Amino acid sequence: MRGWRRAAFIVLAITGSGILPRGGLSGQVTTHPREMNLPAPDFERPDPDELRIELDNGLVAYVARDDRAPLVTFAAFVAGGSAHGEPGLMGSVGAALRRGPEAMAPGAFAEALDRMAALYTVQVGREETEIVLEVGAEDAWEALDLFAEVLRAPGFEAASRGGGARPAGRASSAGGIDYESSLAGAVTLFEDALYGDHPFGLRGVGSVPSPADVQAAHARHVAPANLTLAVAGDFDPDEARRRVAAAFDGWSGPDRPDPVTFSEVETAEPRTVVTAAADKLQGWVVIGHELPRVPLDDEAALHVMDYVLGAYHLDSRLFRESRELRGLTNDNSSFLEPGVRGPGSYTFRTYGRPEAVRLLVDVTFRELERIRETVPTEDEIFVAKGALVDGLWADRYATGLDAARSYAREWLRHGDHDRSESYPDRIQEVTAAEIQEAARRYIHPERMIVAVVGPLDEIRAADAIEDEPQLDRWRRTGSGEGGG
Amino acid sequence: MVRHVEIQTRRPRAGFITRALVAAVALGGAPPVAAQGYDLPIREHVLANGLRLLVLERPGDPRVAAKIFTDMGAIHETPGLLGAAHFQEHIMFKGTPTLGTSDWEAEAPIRERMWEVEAALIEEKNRARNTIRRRGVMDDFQRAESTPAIDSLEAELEALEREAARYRESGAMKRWYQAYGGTGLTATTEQEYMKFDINLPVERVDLFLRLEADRMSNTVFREFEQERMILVEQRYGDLNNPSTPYYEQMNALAGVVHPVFWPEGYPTDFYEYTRTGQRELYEEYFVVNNTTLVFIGGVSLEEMIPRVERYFGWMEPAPEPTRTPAVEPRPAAERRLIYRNDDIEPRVEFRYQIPGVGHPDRPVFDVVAEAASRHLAETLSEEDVAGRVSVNTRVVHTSRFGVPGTINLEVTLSDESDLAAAEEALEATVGWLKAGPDAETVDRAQKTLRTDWYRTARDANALAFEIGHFQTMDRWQTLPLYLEARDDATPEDIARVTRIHFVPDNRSVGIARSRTARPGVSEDGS
Repeated sequence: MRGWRRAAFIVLAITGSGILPRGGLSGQVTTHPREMNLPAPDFERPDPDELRIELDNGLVAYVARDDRAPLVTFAAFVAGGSAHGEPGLMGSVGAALRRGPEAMAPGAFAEALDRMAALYTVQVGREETEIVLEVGAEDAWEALDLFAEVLRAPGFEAASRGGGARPAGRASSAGGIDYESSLAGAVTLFEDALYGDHPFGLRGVGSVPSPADVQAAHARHVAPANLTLAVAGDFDPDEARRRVAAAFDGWSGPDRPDPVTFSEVETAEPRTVVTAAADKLQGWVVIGHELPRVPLDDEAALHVMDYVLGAYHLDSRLFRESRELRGLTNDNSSFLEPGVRGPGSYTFRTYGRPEAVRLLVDVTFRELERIRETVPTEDEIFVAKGALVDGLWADRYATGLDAARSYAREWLRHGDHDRSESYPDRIQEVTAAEIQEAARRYIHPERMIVAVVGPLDEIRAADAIEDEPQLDRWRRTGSGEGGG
Repeated sequence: MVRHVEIQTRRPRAGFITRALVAAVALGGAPPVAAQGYDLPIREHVLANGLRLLVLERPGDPRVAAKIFTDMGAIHETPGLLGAAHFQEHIMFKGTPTLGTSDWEAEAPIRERMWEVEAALIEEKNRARNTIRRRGVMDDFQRAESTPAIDSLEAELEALEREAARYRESGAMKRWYQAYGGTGLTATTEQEYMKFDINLPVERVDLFLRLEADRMSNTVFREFEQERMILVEQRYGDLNNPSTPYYEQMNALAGVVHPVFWPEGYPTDFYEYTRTGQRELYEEYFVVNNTTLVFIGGVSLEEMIPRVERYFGWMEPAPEPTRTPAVEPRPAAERRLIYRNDDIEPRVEFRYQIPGVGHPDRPVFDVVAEAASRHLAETLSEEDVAGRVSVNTRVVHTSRFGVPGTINLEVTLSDESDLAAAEEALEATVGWLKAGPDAETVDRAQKTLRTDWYRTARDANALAFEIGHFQTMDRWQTLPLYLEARDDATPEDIARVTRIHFVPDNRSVGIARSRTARPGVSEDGS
């Protein structure tokens, strides 16, 4: 061992106070982060009113300069998704949007995208669809015209032939579920059990809507009053606003349809266990139930509680108890996924070697009970509030592109930005008692769905033992050799 | 000696890469830096103790991407202990005497005793090697895994860990970043580097300095056994992808000597990590003169110098860490792999060894990959072969190295009977490259690379990674020159480098096929 560092180890070992002297060994600063007097961030998000334009046809766009690189991004958020209409219908609209404008010959759209080195994606969610086109700044206005053209009149005929239905399954899939990716398989298994015949659970497997139906769905949903745009990049904002107005000028459509409110779903006692066998080295687990629509008054406490419990792959109770203290998994995190005008889900996802899976499930349920039964510590609340406001919330508006995207989505959903504006204050006001109340209101361990994908025989054969971290057992049974 | 280098450039405008003037302000003899046209006004300051500070200022940015790079990675591992560098990264999340413990005074003597017990355990295992037969013989010939003395020492070590665990406060190296608005908290270990990174509000950049200086100086090796299992979990995650063993076999075929081609650890390796071995890695490589800090955002070099001095300036420089002496010999014959497996799609792949970053020809291979991908896809389409094309320079998870790596031209097929046709398409594409591709294809390839780079440059975290990565591979000044060289590459350059490197003796061919060949498909896929 190098001499000076060896000496440091010894001195650290024998330092009487347990904390190094302020100013540290040889001048090292070892002040605890809470005592560093770190200043509050002086961050103010851009004023959404200054970014927003509204066209005569009802289209709302947020235009923001973002000159970090010579790029321009156009994003459209549509208030329509796979749950609107017959199964597969909006998927086919998505396929039409991918195919390109009707006026362009097959392949010409792809050629144009390739020439511009563009990124183009269409994602059809349950309640919303997002279309993004991103190009270098030199191609910005050509791309904008193309973007407007494809939104207004995509190629329905070719798309319906290609089908909006899910692609045929591979050898490893069954019932349309792809178990090659075990996490995706477990989530699908969970969602099938949760949503059943609800519009959120229906997939358009094998269904091919007619071009006329697809065209009608497009006209209803992809309309200027039913979408918002985010436009951000390295441009003169005034010119960008003029260009956006010109590109979408003359596009008329129906008034925004009354929002469809989807019925709630609810799990029932006792718990449901759904499984699917997959020949993998690990088992994947999704535990959870529905998340009803969350009133504004509950939102902040729910978010703080969720962060304390299962902040994604960061320090949280689930992460500490299953990964750090027991070495059972690489991750155990919560996923709070509210719907827009329908139910969402609240799930806890983890995975691990087969002999660890039962204990992982056990540890997860113990933590779900604990957060209902006890109030979080002061430190836990401090960490969660700081992370939610100074981290996640601030990140959503940190750049022109981030802000434009966030505002466009907020406008589509709420028609204003009041919720996001009040978010930091609402988070800071949350009390420990409100966190516990949120846990009791939104976590119901007695009626959860437990979805497991993996080597089921090995998972079932393992004892749910509390022998952390099971290394000895792993070594002596030789199960570790399976990965060789 | 303190060095201070500054590069100023104008940003490129759309469609026209400006050749900007560069002003290099060199204190203490730093060399002037050549002109470049990408918008990379990186400023450098090197502390007297050797710590390198790189800042790319974005005035007004409310946040800062902060990264600490250590010039150490998997290429510094020992066979039988593969994955140890990655394991060290995990251990470095376990806190220090001032973070992660409820009572260091009580914990410290237990930790000291653990070093002693583990040293005795290692000695006993070495002494008993003929009894326990852990000398690389085949598994089914192993004798007892243990001896009474080993059992006793392992039990004592476990008891000490349990005793010390009473004082642990897990998660401390993440928690305070989270509390003060940190996002994008990650750590990565690849072949040539380890990094820890965070994105913070600019006002709180001191938190990064305080935590990372502590992490690189005072890590306490807590939760050692738990973390060993997490490494197993991560490795299982990789192996769940049925293509992973195929790629590892290809790496083993393409590279004979250099550790850049080694996998991320075999299950048997995970047994063998010791605190002592990990501490040797930590002691040798996590030293101030082997470290680079990168900041991009609303901070300036002038602000950062005194701050970095305050938190890192007390550290003494250490002897220069050991560098791997391995040099991959140039292949003398074509190598061929037949991978029989029913779980992956059939495929054909050509790999050629290529130079590392720092060699003037390396940037050209990025253009080669992009152009080859286009031509290969077109050729397959013309031949009515259904398959996916991937042309990349990846080895394990990384695409660029400071040492020779490979360029990989892969065709993944829907139908195994197309293996021979796919190999012909690969041959045709190689021939097309050697003949000098058309200028339009090269232009498009360059535009794609340039636009992709802009996406990287827009993201402070991604850009900070590239700057730090180039520093560990070669030097950060290479990055803008590398980007410009890609733009400047001509069809003749492509013909020249492929004629040199895309030769049969420098080629490894991989063929993946089912265990039972279908009618009409020969053993090698032809």
